[in-house]
Amino acid sequence: MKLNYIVNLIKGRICVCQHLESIEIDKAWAADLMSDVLASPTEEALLITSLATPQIVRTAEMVGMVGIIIVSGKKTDDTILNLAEELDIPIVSTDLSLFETCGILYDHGLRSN
Amino acid sequence: MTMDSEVTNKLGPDILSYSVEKVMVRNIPQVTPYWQMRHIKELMRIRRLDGVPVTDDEGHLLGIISISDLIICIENKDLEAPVSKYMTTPVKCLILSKTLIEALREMNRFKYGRLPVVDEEFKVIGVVYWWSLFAFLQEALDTSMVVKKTIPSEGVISYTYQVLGRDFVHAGNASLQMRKSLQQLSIDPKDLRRTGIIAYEAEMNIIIHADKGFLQVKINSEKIEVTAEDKGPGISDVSLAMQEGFTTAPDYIREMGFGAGMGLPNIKRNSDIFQIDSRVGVGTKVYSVVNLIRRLK
Ligand SMILES: Nc1ncnc2c1ncn2[C@@H]1O[C@H](COP(=O)(O)OP(=O)(O)OP(=O)(O)O)[C@@H](O)[C@H]1O
Ligand SMILES: [Mg+2]
Repeated sequence: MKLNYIVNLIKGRICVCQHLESIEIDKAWAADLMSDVLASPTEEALLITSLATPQIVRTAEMVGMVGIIIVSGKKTDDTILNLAEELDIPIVSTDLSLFETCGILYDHGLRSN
Repeated sequence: MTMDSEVTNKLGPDILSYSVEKVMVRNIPQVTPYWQMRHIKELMRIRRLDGVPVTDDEGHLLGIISISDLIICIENKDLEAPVSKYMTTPVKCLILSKTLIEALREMNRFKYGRLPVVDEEFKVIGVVYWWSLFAFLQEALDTSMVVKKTIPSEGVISYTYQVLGRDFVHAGNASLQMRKSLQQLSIDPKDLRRTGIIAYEAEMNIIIHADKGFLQVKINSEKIEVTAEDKGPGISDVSLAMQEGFTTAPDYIREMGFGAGMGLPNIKRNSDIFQIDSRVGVGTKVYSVVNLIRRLK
């Protein structure tokens, strides 16, 4: 499904890399630990996390994630957004919790592998 | 590690061709000419700004009010006066499409401490301050870790990146740079991924646990070798450190999402050959080999 469809499902908004709103996504992975991000089974997945740090963006890029959803309305500052823009990784922000976000997306067919 | 190779600084000339957007400060309060000067005084004090653009109600740029205008106003004991009385107009500004180097030139030529940035309709979208330029350049210099590309022998390429302990701001940068360099070779994505994970975990270990070190990657047609070597406290019990979940990382590190005690096991899992040498009080060296699925030409 398209990224902007996902954004609607979780009542989120794309904070950076709006031009990538129509990329196709069918896999997702949730993690709050860098080691767990690195342990994701696939490339080209969407990372769902409650960490809003530049490191999470770099970690996601290292394993070829195609986008990041930051949950619970965590504040995303300029360092994160600039980095994500540079790396062409869209950042989506949602007020929903990690649990709700994952639940909704799983329900709509996203899987980890 | 031999130091005979040429050191290239990653701070290329291209950063100066970035748009001024990269360095401008957004969310500058919209000040209109009928504001009272006393409000400007408060605004500058609270937001620590030494100048703000003045616009009409639609946000079009009219002038600028700076700390020196404010000083004159205070000398005149005229804080009830409207901004229009003290603002400087017309004002130099930058169009969004201008580059960093153009901003630098303008500011230096006219000795301006700040320049408003406007869109095509002349609406203010931000301000470039000398300190925001300065912060950007300092950041760029910092992140331009020394990278060395060498060709140690026929058919071998090597990249070396410097890594500094506790530098969480740039944590992961060396591995990312490395990944970018490797992406230019036709390496299978699976191998790229394994190498990336190894490099990243090893880099993070230097940042979290050691003082300083380097990350090196060597590629030939059959394999990639990753070496991470640091000066630091070393590891007293390596087999314990290799266990999943073992960590000595303090809480503040864990809050950043590191310190699960998964790094070293993760490196090992992704390596075809894995070696670790550590001496307490001296440092640690981690060496990994990834055998390539596809031979490189
Ligand atoms: N370069 C190093 N210098 C000194 N000690 C190290 C180094 N690398 C690892 N260690 C020690 O080994 C332990 C385990 O390392 P490992 O990478 O497996 O986990 P971690 O770094 O604590 O957490 P994670 O990697 O999951 O973020 C560390 O907590 C630390 O005590
Ligand atoms: Mg580690």
